[in-house]
Amino acid sequence: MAEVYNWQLGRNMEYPYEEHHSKRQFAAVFNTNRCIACQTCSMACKSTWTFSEGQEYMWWNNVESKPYGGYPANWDSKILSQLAEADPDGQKWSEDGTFDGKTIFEAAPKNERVLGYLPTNAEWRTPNLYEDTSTKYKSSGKLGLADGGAELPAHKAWFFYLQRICNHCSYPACAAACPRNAIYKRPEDGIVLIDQERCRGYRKCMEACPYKKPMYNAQSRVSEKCIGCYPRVEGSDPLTNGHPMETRCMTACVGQIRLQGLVDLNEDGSWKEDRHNPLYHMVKVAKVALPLYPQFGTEPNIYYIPPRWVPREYLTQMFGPGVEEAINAYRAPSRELLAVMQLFRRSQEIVFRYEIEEGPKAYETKVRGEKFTMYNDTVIAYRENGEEIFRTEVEEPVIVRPPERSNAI
Amino acid sequence: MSGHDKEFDADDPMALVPAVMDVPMDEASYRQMAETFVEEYMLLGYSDEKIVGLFRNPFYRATHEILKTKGEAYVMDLIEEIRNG
Repeated sequence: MAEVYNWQLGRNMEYPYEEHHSKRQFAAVFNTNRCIACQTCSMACKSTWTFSEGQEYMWWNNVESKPYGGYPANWDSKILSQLAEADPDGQKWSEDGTFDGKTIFEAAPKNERVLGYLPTNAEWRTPNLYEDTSTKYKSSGKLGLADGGAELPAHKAWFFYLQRICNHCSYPACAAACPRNAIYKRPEDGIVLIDQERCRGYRKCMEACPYKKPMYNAQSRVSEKCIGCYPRVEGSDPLTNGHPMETRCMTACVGQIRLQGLVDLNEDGSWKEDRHNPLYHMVKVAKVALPLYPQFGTEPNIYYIPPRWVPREYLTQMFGPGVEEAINAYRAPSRELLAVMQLFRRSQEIVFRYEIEEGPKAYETKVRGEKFTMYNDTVIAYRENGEEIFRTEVEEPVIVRPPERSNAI
Repeated sequence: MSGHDKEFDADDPMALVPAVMDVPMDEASYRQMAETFVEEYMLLGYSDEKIVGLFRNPFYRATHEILKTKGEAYVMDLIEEIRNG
């Protein structure tokens, strides 16, 4: 195996191929604090890419209810258990943020390139197991409405929604494991694709990917996966007149929790300093967004703002050692971060750069003994060529339903 | 028979499989969850009185559930703690 540098682990690691990096990297930030699991992203993806025969069980995008939900079932607890077995008591982070344990490449059994497992058909069957669903919905026939209204379960325990797509990893386990070299990473944007001509459906990618995002099509007998909506990212969709556009799952997001873009990379794979790229700001400057299970070692490129009501031990296992810092950055946001968060879902186009125009003080309050001041700044989003896409203000109108209309139904 | 009345079929790939999680919650995790609600409204500039109102109003189900379970004194203490640190 070759030695490559993984910045999320803070060290070199073993990988089957020599280190090479794309010019740019497809990346996104998901704010788990805001997701309502409406599954509009899942349906936007499904209705665009996976509505054909043989794709019935495929959800390239899914939203699962953590800690118990998962698609395929138990995907993360299974691979975590495998790693713990391969490296008993060793899967730990040092205080300086370096990962001391073994990645899925380093823990691979003899004669295998990656540690993994192939999910069963039953595990793929229920993408929304444990999801919030009405507990009382029996139609009486009248207008199709339930007697007394539908009722959601009352949760007494913490939970949160985890939105998942392919991470378009910098060191993809799927590509590492493919015996046909059918999986490649595009040099222009780092999107990971499966060459449908070369693939012979051995399913080594399904076995290797720790996030379980390659899926097998029993009809065509080849594997398929999220393609990062590359025609949109390339700007070849007519909607935006040739300007790069975010993916379907991102732009359909009702909760406005997703922002996707492209980050420029240095030759060594590190992110080029790009102070006014919103993704660069959130991941590298504010450090409010973290990769999903960085300890797997694939250097995933979807970053999550962790849910701040969840026990820290669980979050640290899921997002690595930066959890406390990320939550602190989110719960007491800087003036700049507040403005950057307004860029989420104001447009379908990729925002390459932002600028902030300072506005008046909106209000002042006190939280945890500290003064917090809210300014109504204006954030302006720009295209790659420097043209303005949109501008929006930080202060949003708050509308409270009057008591006599507390429930519209 | 309407769709809602049909029994769950394990072989139906499109069927919803909901489950209510009746998991006991430890005190610290419960507090952390409750603190998040209060902090969120404080950051929006809400006064203490307005926040208490969200706990008293049954329409705000999550906050009201906390008041029902823990009582008003718990909520007042929560607000005081988050406001003044």
